[in-house]
Parts: sequence; C-alpha cells; structure tokens
Amino acid sequence: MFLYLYNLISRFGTLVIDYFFAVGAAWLFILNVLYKAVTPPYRFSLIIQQLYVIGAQSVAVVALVGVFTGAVLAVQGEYTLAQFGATAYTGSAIALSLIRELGPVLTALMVNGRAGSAMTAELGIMKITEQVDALRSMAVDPIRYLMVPRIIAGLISVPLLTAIFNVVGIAGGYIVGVENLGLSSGTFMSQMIQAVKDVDIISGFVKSVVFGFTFSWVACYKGWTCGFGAVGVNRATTSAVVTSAVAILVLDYFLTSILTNIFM
Amino acid sequence: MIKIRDLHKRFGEQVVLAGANLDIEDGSVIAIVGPSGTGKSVLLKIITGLMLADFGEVIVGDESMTGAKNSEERRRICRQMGVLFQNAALFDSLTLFENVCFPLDVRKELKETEIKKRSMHYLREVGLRGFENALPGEVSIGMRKRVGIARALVTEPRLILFDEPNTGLDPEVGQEIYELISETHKKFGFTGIVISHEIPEVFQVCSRVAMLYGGQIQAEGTIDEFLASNNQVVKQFVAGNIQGPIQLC
Ligand SMILES: Nc1ncnc2c1ncn2[C@@H]1O[C@H](COP(=O)(O)OP(=O)(O)O)[C@@H](O)[C@H]1O
Ligand SMILES: [Mg+2]
Repeated sequence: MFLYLYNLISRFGTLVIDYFFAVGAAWLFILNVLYKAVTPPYRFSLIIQQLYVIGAQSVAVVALVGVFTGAVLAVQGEYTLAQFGATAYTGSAIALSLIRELGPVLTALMVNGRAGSAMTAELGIMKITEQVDALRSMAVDPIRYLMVPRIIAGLISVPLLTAIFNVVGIAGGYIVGVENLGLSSGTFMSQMIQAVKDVDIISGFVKSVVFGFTFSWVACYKGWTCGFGAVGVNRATTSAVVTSAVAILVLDYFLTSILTNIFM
Repeated sequence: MIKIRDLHKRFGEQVVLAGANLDIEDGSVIAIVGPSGTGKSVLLKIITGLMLADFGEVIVGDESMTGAKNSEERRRICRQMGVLFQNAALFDSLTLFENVCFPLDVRKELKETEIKKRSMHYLREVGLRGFENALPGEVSIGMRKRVGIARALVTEPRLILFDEPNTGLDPEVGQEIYELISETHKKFGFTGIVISHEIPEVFQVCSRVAMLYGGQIQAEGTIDEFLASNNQVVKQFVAGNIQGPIQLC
C-alpha cells in the first residue's frame, strides 16, 4: 500500500518536474534567440528569405479565408441585426469583429497551419539529418542562422497578413452586404468608419504581433527539440501545430480581457 | 596530434563512453571501428565539440576541446576540422555548388571570386563537374557523399573526420568513396579519422585501426597488429562471429 502510494507520488512528481523542465527549456530557448536577434552579426538576407516563405507565400490563402469570413459575417450580422431593426450597423459589426478578433486569430491559425508546420518539419529534418551539426561544425551558430530569421519573420508577417485579411474581409462583407443583401452602401461605410476606433486597431495589432511571435516560437522550438527519425519529425510537427493553435486561442482570451480593460 | 583521455559520456542510464583513450598522429589516417550503436558517432561529436563529454579530455593540436569555455570557442577549434557526416548532411535548400562554397562564405576570409574558384576546384576534385546546380535531393547518396567530402576539403583543414563514409551505399559506390578518401589524403595530407563498422573494407584507407566497444578503445595499432590482437572483443569482431563477448541486439 505504501509502496503503491510512493510510486504514485513519485510518478506524479516526475511528471511535474518534467513539465517544468520542458517549460524552462522553451523559455531559455527563446531568451537565447531574442538575445541573438538583437546582437550582431545580423543576417538580413535570411530574414527576407523567411519573410517570403512565411509571409508572401501565405497571402493567397489568407486572402481567401478573409473574403469568406467577411462574407459570412455580413450574412450572419445582417440576420442578427435585422431582429433589432439595426441592419445599418452591419458594416460596423463586420469591421469590429474582423479587426479586434477574427483577423488576428484566423490569420495566425492559417499561417500556423501553413508555415508553422512546414517550419517545424524542415527544422526537425535538418536536425535528424545532422544538418544542424554540420552548421555548427562550420562555426555557424544554428540559433542565429536558423531560428532568429524565422522568429523575426513570423513576428513581422502575421501583423501584415492580418492587415490584408481585414481589408479583404471588409471588402467581402461589403460585397455581400451591399450587393446581395441590399444594404445601403453609404450607411455601411459611414457607420463602419464611425464605429472603428484607434484602440480597436491597436488591440488587433498587439494580438497579431503576439500570435506571430507565439507560433514561430513554438514551431522553431519543436523543430529544435525534435526526436529521432521520421517518427520524431511527425510528433514534433503535430505537437507544434496543436500547441500553437491552442496557445493562440488561449492567449486571445487573455489579451482580449486585458486590452479591453486597458482601453475602457 | 589528437589526444583523447579518459572520455566519459552517458545519456541518462545508458553509458556510451566509459574511459576511452586514444592518440592519433598527425598526417595519419586511423579507422575507428566497432559494431553499430557503440558510440562511434558520439565520439566524433565530442572530438568536434558538437557534443559535450561528461568527463575526460580531448586535445586537438595544442588546444583542449573539452576545456573550451563556451560554444564560441569550441566552434573556433572546430574550424581546423572538416567533417563528412553519416548521410552527408548537405543543406537541402542549397545547390551542390553552394554547399561547397558555404564553409568559405561564412568565414568571410576570401573574396567572392576566390571562393567560387576554390569551391569549383574541389567539386571537380571529387568528380562532380557538371552537377553544380543540382539540389542535394536530386542526386544519389553516393554523389551527396562526394559533395560532403568536397565541402570538408574546401577549407583545407588539418583534420578530417568521416562518419561511416560508405554506409548506405552499394559496394561499388562505397569502394569509390574509399578510393576518393585515399586519393585526397595522398594529395592533401590531412589527418583522417574514418569511422566504420565494416572491416576489412575500411583497411584500404587507413594505416592504423582502433576498436571502440563497451565505452572504451579495446585495441589500437597498425592493421596487422589489430588483426593479430588477443583481445576477445577484437577477435570476435574481426572473425564476424555471433558468439563472443559482443552482445548483438
Ligand atoms: N543525442 C543523444 N541522445 C540520447 N542518446 C543518444 C544520443 N546520441 C546517441 N545516443 C545513443 O548513444 C548510442 C551510441 O550512438 P552512436 O554513437 O550513434 O553509435 P554508432 O557507433 O553506431 O555511431 C546509441 O545507443 C544512441 O541511441
Ligand atoms: Mg554512427
């Protein structure tokens, strides 16, 4: 009986210790990356390359999701607001939902699915095929060479893609609202412009920066700590995508609460 | 001269190196042999400073790799070395030519044109003229290993380490790689460490042999001395017997 309890407690203890070790390691990793991001030598060409892979190549999918999100918001918003006779506010509802909430979240989730998973898989494969060791053997710091450009590019890409998502989404909402549902174009625009405040744009921006940082941190860290073989890469990739997605949604809740409190 | 003294390394419960000792003379090629999973690659990574030992010392020339204070210093010592990794470890996103240029590019010691010239020279040296713009994924593993050798040679290092240079190759291609190692050694006179689990094939490139097993160097000497060794582990390995002290998994 005692032995059983002892085993139970020790197993639980191991789990807790392992957990804190993992969290600690992820923090040390990102502190290392951040330190190396702000100290020379800087590698701008690598950052640009990653901006292309993470940012430019995600524009199409982000725009596609954006336009349909805006369209759905128009249909749904008009339906809900009609019950209060307030369809004039459809434009405001669409814009505020996109800018404050859906733009940053959906963009980050899409980029995570598209670029985050690819990033983890690429880094994981580089690790298990000893390409990371090869870099180090040539006196190249893999953190500087591989991680810093990716995390900086993630940080820059997501806010820019979010801006595209919002613009395209509002356009989608406008087209559906005005052309299909017969809302007045003037009311749509003027109500929207009146409703959207600087703070909404700032909160959306803060969120997108945080999300961009989060997904690229998770993706890089999971690739960096990838286990052996194809199984290792597979696990790392799955875990990176799921962890980032959950982290983005959880952070979104907290950021929304905090930002709303700050600006109210 | 490379000195390995009382080297220890373990991963959790698993002891991989337990007091390995070895001296390697300048300009010679030594084969480090042993069955798979005995820690040959781990030894290579400790020599190159890619992995830290738990205890013991590795001295390369007149510098102590294990005594290096930080990774920066380890990387600096490692610059006198070239490594051919087990599966060549070429960078997937760079062409074969860019892969060979890479170690020179990051050193920033030579001019662009000089780097190109030298890289092209070594790429030809390993017989890959005409494949400069191919990506590693587009060529065979034998060719990738050749490029790996060119990439190791291009900085003209004093020491080159080859991790299982002919593993994963069919016999003829493996033979070609061995011949390439012998030829380049004659020509450039580096100190070579060739890791392998294949005897007697590896004997054609080396003048000395050391066997790693049980975390220690079991025997070291010329090929003849090695073959005549009385060590039971060496005897079993040389004879390729299933019965003996080596536990096969
Ligand atoms: N980074 C690592 N983490 C945990 N175990 C490792 C690591 N690297 C090697 N090992 C273990 O050390 C042992 C020796 O590996 P290795 O040196 O690759 O053998 P080989 O002689 O075939 O090259 C293996 O059992 C391997 O699982
Ligand atoms: Mg090995």
